[in-house]
Amino acid sequence: MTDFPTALFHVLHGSARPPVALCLYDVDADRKRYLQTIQSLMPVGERCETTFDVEAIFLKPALTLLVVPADELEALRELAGRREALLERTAPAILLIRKGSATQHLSDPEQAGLLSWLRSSILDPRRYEEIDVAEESKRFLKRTGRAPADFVRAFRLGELPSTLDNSLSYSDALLLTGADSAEPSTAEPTAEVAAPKTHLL
Amino acid sequence: MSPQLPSVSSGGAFFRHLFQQVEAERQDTEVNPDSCATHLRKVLQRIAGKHCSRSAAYWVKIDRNARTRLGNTLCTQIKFSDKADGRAALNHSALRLDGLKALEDGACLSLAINIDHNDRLIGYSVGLQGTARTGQRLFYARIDLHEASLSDLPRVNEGGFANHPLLHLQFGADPNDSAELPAARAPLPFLLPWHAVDWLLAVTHPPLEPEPFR
Repeated sequence: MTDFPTALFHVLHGSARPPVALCLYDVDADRKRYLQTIQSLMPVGERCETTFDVEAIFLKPALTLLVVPADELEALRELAGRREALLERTAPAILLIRKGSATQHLSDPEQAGLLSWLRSSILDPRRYEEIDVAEESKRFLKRTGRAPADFVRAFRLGELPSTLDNSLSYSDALLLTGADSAEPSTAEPTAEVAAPKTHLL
Repeated sequence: MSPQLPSVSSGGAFFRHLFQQVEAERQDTEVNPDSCATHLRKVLQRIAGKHCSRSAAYWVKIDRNARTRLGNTLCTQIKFSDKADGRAALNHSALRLDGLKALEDGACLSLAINIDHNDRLIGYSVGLQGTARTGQRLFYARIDLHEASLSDLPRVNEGGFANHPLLHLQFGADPNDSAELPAARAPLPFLLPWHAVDWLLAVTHPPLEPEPFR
């Protein structure tokens, strides 16, 4: 599965970049962060403009635009009604659209054409970022020989050496288990383990 | 007035003080995963095309575990994606670095950052490994921020687990030889992950050193 930066790469780079893409968000704070992310991934030497004005999509075809429409539903209707004009664009326009009524509008049978046209250019960062825990846990077990929770426990107790490999694997294990989920899966820590030799360096 | 730092000769007091400082900064500093990734990308864009691939910024990815909601540690991880062009330690994704003054081409930068759903750093590990241009010696350095309180597990005094300082730099020849002696470790004041990357890059390529040291 792809990740958000890779999906953005396809939108922002190359000759096959789409004239319009949608970036879906859940809450306003996410919208702001995704704007920052897109800006941070702009091709070197290329500039982009952030605007609330949907009309800019038609007026500035050669400029990469990050569009935050005041009325998202109306913006999608505008795109659907003027699709031919969008083909004039040589740089992408990315509309940030909140998941909800505006995205439901896209599933309306009347908008099937627009949805079909945009389908490969709809970016959903949250969906890209969410991992398949079961699958990743299996891979982790195969790679390290330990289940993630066992790895967390063993590393914290000092049963695994503090190598770079283990340090990176520990981070992977934390992602899979949660930082406060590493209940000892075997015996409770013994008094001996509970009082390791003290040396702060 | 800033609190008085105990002297190193006061032994444990100095390191306890450092521990408390690092932990207080961690608790007080919001680190949003998206913003953290953006900061890291900015660091990489400064060296893109010269010391790493122009695609490096695109290889910084965020993974989220939406199922882990135990306590308050819904966990997010930032690391290099599998598309990155380097491999660190035993096959972890990493960024290939070239043209560093101190290291042969093909050095590797690795990173793994864990953040909870309150935008607090759980911990991080930022590493750089390669071969020194002088003497062809292996070299690695890594900066680790550990978790402070492991309430369901034995407390390791005032340090992180493995009896290491909460935030420390570790360096040596082989990143996977835990028996290497002397174990060279230095406690550090609080550093954000992108500052740790900055610092490690500067160690191996002096022109990248930050302003006061240039």
